[in-house]
Order: sequence, then C-alpha cells, then structure tokens
Amino acid sequence: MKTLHLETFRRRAVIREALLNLRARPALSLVVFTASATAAFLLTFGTSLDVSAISSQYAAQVSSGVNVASVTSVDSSPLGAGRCAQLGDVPGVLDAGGLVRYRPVIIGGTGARVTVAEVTSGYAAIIWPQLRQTRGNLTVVAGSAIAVDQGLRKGSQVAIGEATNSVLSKVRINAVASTSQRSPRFDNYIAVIVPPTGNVSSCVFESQPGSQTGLGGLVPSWFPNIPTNLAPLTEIGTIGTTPAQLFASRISQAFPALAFALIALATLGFWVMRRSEFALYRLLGMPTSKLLLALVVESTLLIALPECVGALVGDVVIPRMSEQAVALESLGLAVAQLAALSAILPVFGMCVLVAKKPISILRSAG
Amino acid sequence: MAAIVGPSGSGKTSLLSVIAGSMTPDFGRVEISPATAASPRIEWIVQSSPLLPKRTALENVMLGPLSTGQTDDRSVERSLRAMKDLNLEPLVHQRVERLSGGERQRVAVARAIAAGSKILLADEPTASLDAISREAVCDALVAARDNGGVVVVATHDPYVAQRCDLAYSVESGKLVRL
Repeated sequence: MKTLHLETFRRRAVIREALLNLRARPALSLVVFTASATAAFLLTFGTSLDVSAISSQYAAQVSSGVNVASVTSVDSSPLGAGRCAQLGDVPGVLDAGGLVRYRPVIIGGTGARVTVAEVTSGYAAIIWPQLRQTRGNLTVVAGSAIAVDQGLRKGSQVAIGEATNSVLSKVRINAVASTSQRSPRFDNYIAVIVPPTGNVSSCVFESQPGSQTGLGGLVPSWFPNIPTNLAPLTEIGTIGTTPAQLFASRISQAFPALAFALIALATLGFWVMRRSEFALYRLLGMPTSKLLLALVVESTLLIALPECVGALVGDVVIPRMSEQAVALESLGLAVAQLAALSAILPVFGMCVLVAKKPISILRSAG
Repeated sequence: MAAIVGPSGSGKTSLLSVIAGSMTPDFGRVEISPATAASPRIEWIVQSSPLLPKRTALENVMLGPLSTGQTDDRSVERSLRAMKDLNLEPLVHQRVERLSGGERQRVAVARAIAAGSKILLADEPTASLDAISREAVCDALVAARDNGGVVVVATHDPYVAQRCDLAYSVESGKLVRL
C-alpha cells in the first residue's frame, strides 16, 4: 500500500493566518485583550491592597508589641542587667533591656506623687520605639500622660524626692514620649535611664519578624542557672505570629483563580464563537499541532501581552505596597500562578475545538 | 465532469462520501486513475461552502495553496490566477461576508483550483442560488474541469446536469448512466 504524505500549512502561514484572523475581528479581539488586561490589573491591584492591608495589620501588631516578650525568673530573683543587654546582640533580636525598679517620688512644688521607673536604655527603646534612634542620649523620659499633667516638656527641670520632707534632686527631662502602645502604664511614669550594670527585675526583648520560634528555645536558658519564664509583654502579643502566617490565610490567594476564570471565559468564548473557522482549517488538513500553534499565537497577543500590561499598570497605579520580602513574594506568586494557568488555555482551547469532527461543526453552523 | 442526479434521499451524497473515502461502501470499489491519484487532494463544494467570512476573497482562496504547503508568494500567484479564471478579479479584496451566495461558491471553487485539487466533489452546489449565480457556479466548475480536474456534481438541478459531460442517476442504490 502506498502511504501518502500530504503537505500541509507551513508554520509561517499558520502564524500569519492567526494574526490575520485577529485583525479581521478587531472589536472582539479588543474585548478579549481588555478582559485579560483587566483581570491582570485587578489581580495585581487586589493582591497589593490585600497584602498592604496585612502589612499594615502586621505593622500595627509589631507596633503594639506582638514581638516583644518579657523574661522573669521563676522565683523572682534578679537577672543580670549586662546579660540582659547582651541579649540585644543575639541574631534575630532587635533590642533588649531591663527594668531595674519602680520608685514612688514626690515632685517638688506641686507635691504630686508619681512613679519613676529605672530602666536601661534598651528597655525604654522597646517601650517607646520612636525613641530608638536617640536611645544613646536618653537620660530621663517623661511619659505622655504625666507630661501633660505636670506640664513637662523636653528640657524641663523637675525636682523630685523620696518623700515630702526629703532632699530634692533635680532631673532634666530630655525626652517626652508619645503614647506607648506596648505598655500604656508607662505613659504615667517618668523613666530614668540607668546603665546596664547590676541587676534587673525583668528583661524584655523585641525580636525581628519571623525570629520568634528560634528565640523561644534560646531565651529560657539565656540567664545561666536561673530558671526563667517567657511571656508576651502585652496581652495581645502571641509569640510565634509571623508575617508568613498572616499571608498564608489572606483572601487574595483566590485572586489568580478568579482572574484566570475571567480570562478563560473571554478567550474560550472567543474561540468557540469562531469554531467553524477552526473547523475549516482542520477540513483543509491543518493538523492539531498547527492548530495549537495558531492558538498559542493568539494567546500570546490576547492573554500574555495584556496580562503584562495589566500587571505593570496595576503595579504603577497602586500605592507602593510594603517592601517586605514576603509581600513581594505574594504578588510575584499571584502573577506567576495566573501566567501558569493561562499557559494551559491554548491546550484546553484546542481540546474543545477538536472535540467534534470539523464537518459536524460546519454543518451545525449552517 | 459528471453529474449524479436523483431525488432527495436517493444516495447522491453517500456516493460522494464513498468517492472521498469518508464512507465505506457495502460492495464495489472506487478506482482513481493514476494521473489523478498523483495529486490525491479531494475538495468538497457543498451548498454553503465553509469560508472565513471576515477575511477577503483572496485570503480565502489562498487557504487552498497554503494548505498544501505553498509559500505565501506562490499562494498569491496561484490564487489570483484561479480567481481570474473564475472572473473573481473584481472581488479579490472584498470581504466574503459581503459576497452573494453564488460568489461565495465561486470563491470556494477557486480555492479548490488554486490548491491544485484534481478531484472536486460538489454536493448541491447551486441549491438556493438564483439563475445568474447558478450560471456562474457552473462556469466555475467547468473551469475547474478545464484546469485538468475531475468534477463530480451531485444535483437535482437539470440545468447543472446538462452542463456536465456525463450524467448518472442513483436508482435503488445503483448507478445508471443517463
């Protein structure tokens, strides 16, 4: 038996035909292009908004002390202030410092009774993060509430004594803190910064995001021969919460699938609408591999290109989101997921278009 | 150029399908002369031949040679020649959706001729066409024959049968020469 090797469309001709077919339907092509661009834009925009919201939420948590923990000895015995300060040098720890003691005092002149907290500079920087940059120069810090009550401001001199008739000593306020979200009671205190020598009653440290898990194993044995307890500084704090955990449950994880659904609907609709056109090519002997090539060419112009445009526009239009690596990863992952899903569309489209015999399609199309 | 006539349901289309090889006969065989078999492409012309409506007549005719692996330049050349033979030159750049039924049929015939198909099977090619269009389609089929093609037309139109060199009737499953 003689085997016939029929010539068929050249690859270049297939590409040209795909381009001409799109040009022949400018309005519908534009609709699909716009749908793809819009889907990519919404994906980028929506994911960025969601990620930004989570970043803000996380930043608020960090600001309120979610990463701050307090170490105290089990039997209330003092901890080494120097050792506490050294904790700040451990990788993953942002800052560390100790509380020496609370001291009730009387302010000369007004006779007001207030509390002075003797703390190391690291402790003050954790309680009032906005003072972290100037922590080296801190000597006396007035909490926000007491500053209002006593009319204290930066540079004010205050005479304080242990009791009404005691000798007053003068201190100069060199910083007035804003409201502390981490320990609101400090708003009513005057903090006197002391060097990290001697002992402290408690040691607090702030870990960097994502470092809590490792530190949870290190810190309890940080003070030699002293059994310690580790607890969040504030009630809202939960040691172990990481940005990754927050992002893992974000709603925008569904956005790539939704964007893909919109693109698939537009593209497959466009192709199915033109099924008799593809049936004619098959009737003329175009093999499925060449049909797939035509769909890939169309997909490049109608899906890949507008997706790039939409994603770029989305990235430019939206307010710059958090630069956190995990946030950028989330956006990159969303775009990659959409691209991967879109890549299967030509194959899926081909399966749809060759499901019926071309002659049947042409007959039903009239 | 042969006509196969007979009433609806007599088996004209089935006979064309057997010739095309898309249907296996209960008995008998189809023989194709060696000269014709050298170019084995078979082109179907049906009542409403499929075309790309949004594309120009020339682009549609070009699909014929392009489908046989011809280059763009060669396809244009062959298509223009075929269109000239069928008096389609004025319609070269017209969109197919703007053409009449007869003109579309002629474009389909031109596509087959340009493709170099030696066998042209036409199934009721003039149905639902007016007299002028019918005449034009018949001229196109005759032109295909003159280009060295074998044209088999299934029709119940006596005029079309009259234009053919041979005429057969399908009666009770048998082919009878008229």
